[in-house]
Amino acid sequence: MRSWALACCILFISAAVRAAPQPRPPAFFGGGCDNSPAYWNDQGGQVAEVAGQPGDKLSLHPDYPPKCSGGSKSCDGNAYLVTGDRVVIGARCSAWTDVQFSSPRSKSWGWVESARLKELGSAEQVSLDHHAPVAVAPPGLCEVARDRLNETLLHAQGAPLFTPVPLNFQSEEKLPPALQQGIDAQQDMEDFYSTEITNVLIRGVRAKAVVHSPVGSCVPTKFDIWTHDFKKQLYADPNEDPDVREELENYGTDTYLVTSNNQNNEIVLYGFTRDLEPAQFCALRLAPRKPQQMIEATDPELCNAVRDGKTEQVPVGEGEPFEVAAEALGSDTDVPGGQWHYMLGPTARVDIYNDGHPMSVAIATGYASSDGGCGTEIQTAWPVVLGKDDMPDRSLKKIEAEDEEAHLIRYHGTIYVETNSAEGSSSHNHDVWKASPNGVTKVCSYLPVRYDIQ
Amino acid sequence: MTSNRLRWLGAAVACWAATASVRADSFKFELLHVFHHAPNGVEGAGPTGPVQVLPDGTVLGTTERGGTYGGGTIFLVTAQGEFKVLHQFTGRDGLYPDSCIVPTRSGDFYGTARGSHRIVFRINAHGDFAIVHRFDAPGGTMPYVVSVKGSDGKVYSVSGGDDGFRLLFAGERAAAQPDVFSGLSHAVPGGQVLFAAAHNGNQGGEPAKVGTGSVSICADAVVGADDHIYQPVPHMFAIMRSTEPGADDIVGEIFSSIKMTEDQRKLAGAGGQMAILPGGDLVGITHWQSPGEQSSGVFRVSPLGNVAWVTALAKSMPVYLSPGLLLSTDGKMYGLVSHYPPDPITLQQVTPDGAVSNVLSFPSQAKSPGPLTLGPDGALYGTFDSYGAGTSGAVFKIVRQR
Repeated sequence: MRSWALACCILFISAAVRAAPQPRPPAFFGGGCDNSPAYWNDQGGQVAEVAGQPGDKLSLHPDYPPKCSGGSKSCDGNAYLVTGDRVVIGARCSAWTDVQFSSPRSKSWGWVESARLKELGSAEQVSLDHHAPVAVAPPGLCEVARDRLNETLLHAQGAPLFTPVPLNFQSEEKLPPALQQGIDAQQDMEDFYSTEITNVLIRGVRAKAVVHSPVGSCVPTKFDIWTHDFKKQLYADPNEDPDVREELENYGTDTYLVTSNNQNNEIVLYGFTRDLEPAQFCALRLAPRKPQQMIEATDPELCNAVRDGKTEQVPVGEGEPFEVAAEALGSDTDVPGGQWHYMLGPTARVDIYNDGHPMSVAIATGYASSDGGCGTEIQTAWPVVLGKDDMPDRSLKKIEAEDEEAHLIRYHGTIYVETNSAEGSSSHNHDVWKASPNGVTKVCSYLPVRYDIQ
Repeated sequence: MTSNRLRWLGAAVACWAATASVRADSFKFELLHVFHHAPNGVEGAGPTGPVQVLPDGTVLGTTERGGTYGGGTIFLVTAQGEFKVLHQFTGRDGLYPDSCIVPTRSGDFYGTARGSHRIVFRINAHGDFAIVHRFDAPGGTMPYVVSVKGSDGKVYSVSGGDDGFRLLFAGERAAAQPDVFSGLSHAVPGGQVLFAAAHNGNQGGEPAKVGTGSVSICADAVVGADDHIYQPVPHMFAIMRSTEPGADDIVGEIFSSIKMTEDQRKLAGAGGQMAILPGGDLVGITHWQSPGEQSSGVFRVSPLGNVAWVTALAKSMPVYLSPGLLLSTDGKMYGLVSHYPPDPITLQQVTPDGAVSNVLSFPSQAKSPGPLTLGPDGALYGTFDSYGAGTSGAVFKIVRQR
């Protein structure tokens, strides 16, 4: 009997301790439609997300609304949630649900309309802060971006950083008339654009991307982001720099805005806040790699010497360079994609085939503008052997070592051709070639640059 | 002989006389050479005229493309039909020669070519070639001073540069002209501008200026009897005229479409050579880009600068392109006209009072005619850029059949 009474006493004391007045202990139980206290458990409760248009508010009523008298401050309150907020749900009474919202600094409680809540599952499986505003890059993101860019450089690929958000240009969806009129009016004064609409999902929000592509001009492609029903513009692209290319890309579960500047070789990665405001996460800038990374080395001693600047430049400079027709360099010279102009010279007398027979050799250089003449200059250069009239001898095999700059070097008495990307070029090559009457063979290849996080 | 018979005879004589007086001129054309250009072949490609004809009937001309090094050629065709390449451009000596070469009293010919530097060259009928001047060409445009012979006999000194070209001097002899150009002006027929500049390709907005492009010996500009310089500008719907004769003034006065009368508006597509009539009127030809949109025709610019529409050409054969009109020794003007396929190229004759007639149709394989030249034999000489499959142009002459 004593032991039973003792046990009852312990249980009673224990319950009395739990029921002691303290603000919202960390466990959900109790509570009800009569405003009795509710207790919350952030780890074990059910999580729901506020549905609606981005930015839409949802009032958080301190007291159960049906029991409120009109105009009572305890009913209306001042707090509110916004679309995308995640809450732990408590009691459900009629059309109302008691919820707890946790921000990094504080917690809020109150009643909201049940119809605006979309249940996601247990807090054990669903993150409560998924839609918290993004202020900093997720850990390791910038490093991943840097490594991917350097991998792209290594393989000389112009691949996107992550996975581009697919844009459905086949869609025949039309803009609302009012919006279309605004765009038309703007285009009357500016460059002509073609406009495409596509569905995108950014941070879990269904939206529309309106892509404006310039027609016959050098203005860059721009995109704006709207709510899926075009009632609100979420993002207006300010980019008017023809050197900057923009793309929405997915990585992991998030979407990022990636901008690439051709002029300064800078790539900037932006994340989106829950209000779809872009926030810069990292800037990655191309910088010289010292020492250059060796990619290919058929003759390691030579390749090390070239990399370390221990070879001899073959002096050239006889005659001023002059423009020649493409036909003078061979019918296969013209490279598609631009209007090419070719220069020939300077020249040198050199044993370029290393067979004991010095020949007149000139550096041929081709220039063209790409991107429809929108400012991107490309250049290629290679040595040619001269024959009759001191013009390229097409009876001999053309030496094709196309790159941006070419010059002749000598190492231990052997002549090589070294090609290098010009400063400011979009390509990043450095190669060494050996010439023979049958053509050229690549002997060394280097990667001269790398991306660094700024 | 009854009075009736007399009346019939009289009528027949009158009819014969009338017929004889309006009998149309008859012309035939002879091919002097057809170009067959293979890659890196010696023979050039694309003669664009006008050619020069020597007293012995030898024809001299340039091809803008082709030759062993692809930079164009200077060629010669003798009266006996022998074809010879006098020079092939490599690039060291310029590239892509302009179509016109100008004869001098000494027997040499001068011309211009492009390339990394624009050059003025001299060549003779033996093929002796020399570069006589090399322009510095920063940014592709270069200032220059050249001489012009007006139809009034005066010599005009013209300076060109980025802001258009200016008349520096008008008088008996040119001042401030490089020596290289001395002696050239006397050879200018009808006041043709020797070295003027093509417009710089302005496509609207800013008024185009004669002289902001590249030096060309083949400019369509002429010096009118009023000492103004005139040039048709096809894409501007306009004829340009220097603002003031002999003044240091930028050329820029345009018969703009805003001020134009309905007739003047028909000037759209005016381009190519303009013929200068003895009274000083300039006569030119227009073309339209769209067939059937509006007839092309002949316009006339008076010495006072008034522009008038003279005659519409047949609407049934809209003009695609015309290299302009040339005044011949018979007092009539002649011009080659391209029509839309399948219509052939035709030779149009324009009388001083504006009557236009089609006097010759060319074989269908003839394409892209160049401006005509009047030879010392009274024949008209010209070029086609193409003359059928496998060819790269032709040189021909047109003779009047007696």
